[in-house]
Amino acid sequence: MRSTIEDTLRHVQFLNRHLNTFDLQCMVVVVLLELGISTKRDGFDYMKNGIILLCEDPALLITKGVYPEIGKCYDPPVSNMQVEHSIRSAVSDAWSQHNSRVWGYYFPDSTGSKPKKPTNAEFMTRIARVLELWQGCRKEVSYETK
Amino acid sequence: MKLNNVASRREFLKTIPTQELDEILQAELRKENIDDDLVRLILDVLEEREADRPVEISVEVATAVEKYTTYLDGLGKEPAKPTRRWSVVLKVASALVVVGLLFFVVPQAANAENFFEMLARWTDSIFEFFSPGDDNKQPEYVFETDHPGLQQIYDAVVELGVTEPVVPMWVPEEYELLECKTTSISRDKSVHAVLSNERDTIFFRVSIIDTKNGVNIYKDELGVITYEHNGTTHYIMQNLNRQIATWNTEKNICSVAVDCQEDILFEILKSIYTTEED
Repeated sequence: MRSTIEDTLRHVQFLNRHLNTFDLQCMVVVVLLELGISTKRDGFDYMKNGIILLCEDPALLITKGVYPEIGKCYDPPVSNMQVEHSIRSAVSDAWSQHNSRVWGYYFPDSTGSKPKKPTNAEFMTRIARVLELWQGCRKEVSYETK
Repeated sequence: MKLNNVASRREFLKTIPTQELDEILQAELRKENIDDDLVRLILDVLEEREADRPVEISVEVATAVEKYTTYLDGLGKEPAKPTRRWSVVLKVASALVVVGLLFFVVPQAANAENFFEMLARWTDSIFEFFSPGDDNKQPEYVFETDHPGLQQIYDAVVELGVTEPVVPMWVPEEYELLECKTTSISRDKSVHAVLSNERDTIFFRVSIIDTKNGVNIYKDELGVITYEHNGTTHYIMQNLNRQIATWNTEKNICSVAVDCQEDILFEILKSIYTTEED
C-alpha cells in the first residue's frame, strides 16, 4: 500500500529515536543505507554530500549547482559527468534489489503495479525534503507508545 | 565472534535488548568503515519490534506540511502545473545587458494528501536566470533514462569520447536492446545499436566524423523532409518502408532508423535533448 506522509514521518521519527540524534549527516547516512546504497561506492559519498547541500540550500539546482559543488570537494575535482554517473549507478544497483516497504517511505511511486525508479534529482531532492520536513516539525514531537 | 551468515546475524541481534542495539547502531555509524549489513539488520530488527507497538506521532502533520511548503514557496522556486513538466529559459538581450525572464505559474495549495505530488513538481520544475555574459552558456547536458538498453548505448557512446546529446532517452515501451557494438576501422569509429519489440526494429548509429570520409545513408526515391529541434536540423527520409532520421553535431554524424510511424521517430528525436516537454 502506498505510503502517506504520516507513514514517512513516523519512520523518520523511528530513525531519529534510535539514533538519538538529528545530526543531519548521520540521518542521511542511515537513510542511504536503509535504501540499499553501499557505503563502498563513490556514489554514496556524492549523494550524501548532495543531500546535505540540498538541505542547506533547497533552491540549488542539481546539474548546475549540486554536481559542481560535490565535484569541488575532491582533489582532483570530479567532473559533473562522473558525479552523475556514480550516483546513477549506485541508485540503479540499490533499485535492483530494493526493499519496497522502505523505498515507499521516500518514493511512493516506487511501489505499486508500475514501480518507477527515481532519477538522480528525484532521489536526492526527495530525501532532503523529507528530512527537512521532519527537522522542521520534530520539536513538536512527543514520543507516546500505544 | 563474527557471524557470516545474514540469517544467523539477524537471529543473534534479535536476542539483544533494544537499548543495546541502539548503542551498537550509533557506534557503528561513527566508524570510518561502516558495516552496511549490520546497520540494515539492526534497523530491521528494531522495526520488527515496533511493529507490535507502534509509536504515535503527536505533531500535526497537515500543519507541518503547510508550513514547509510555504517555506519552499518563499524561496522563489514555484512548483509547475500538476500535469506537465516545464523547463523554460527566456533571454532578452539589450545593448548593455542580458536579462532573464522568469515565468510564474500559480502554485497549488499544499496539504498532507498531495505532499509527495508537490515534492515531485518541486524536483521537476527548473527556472534559470542568465546573468550578463552568460548568454552563450547552455545548461549542462545530463543523460537520464529508465531504459537499460538506452543506458548501455549511452555508455558505449561516452566511451567513444562523445559528450554531446546524441542518444535518445526514450523509446516506445517493450523495445529491448538486441545489440550494441562499437566498431573502429582506421579513423572511423561508430556505435551501432539495434532495439526491437519482436515486431518492429529501431537502428541507431553514431559515427565520429572523419574529414575525408562521410557516412552513406541509403534512401528511396521519396523526398527528404527536415525536422528542426533544439537548434539541430534532422533530415527525415524513407527507405524500404523504414523511417530514417540523420543529423550531424559538431563532431558526429548520427542516424536513427525505425520501422514504426513518423510521429514515434519525432518523439525519439526530441528525447535526445530533454526528457521534459518544451
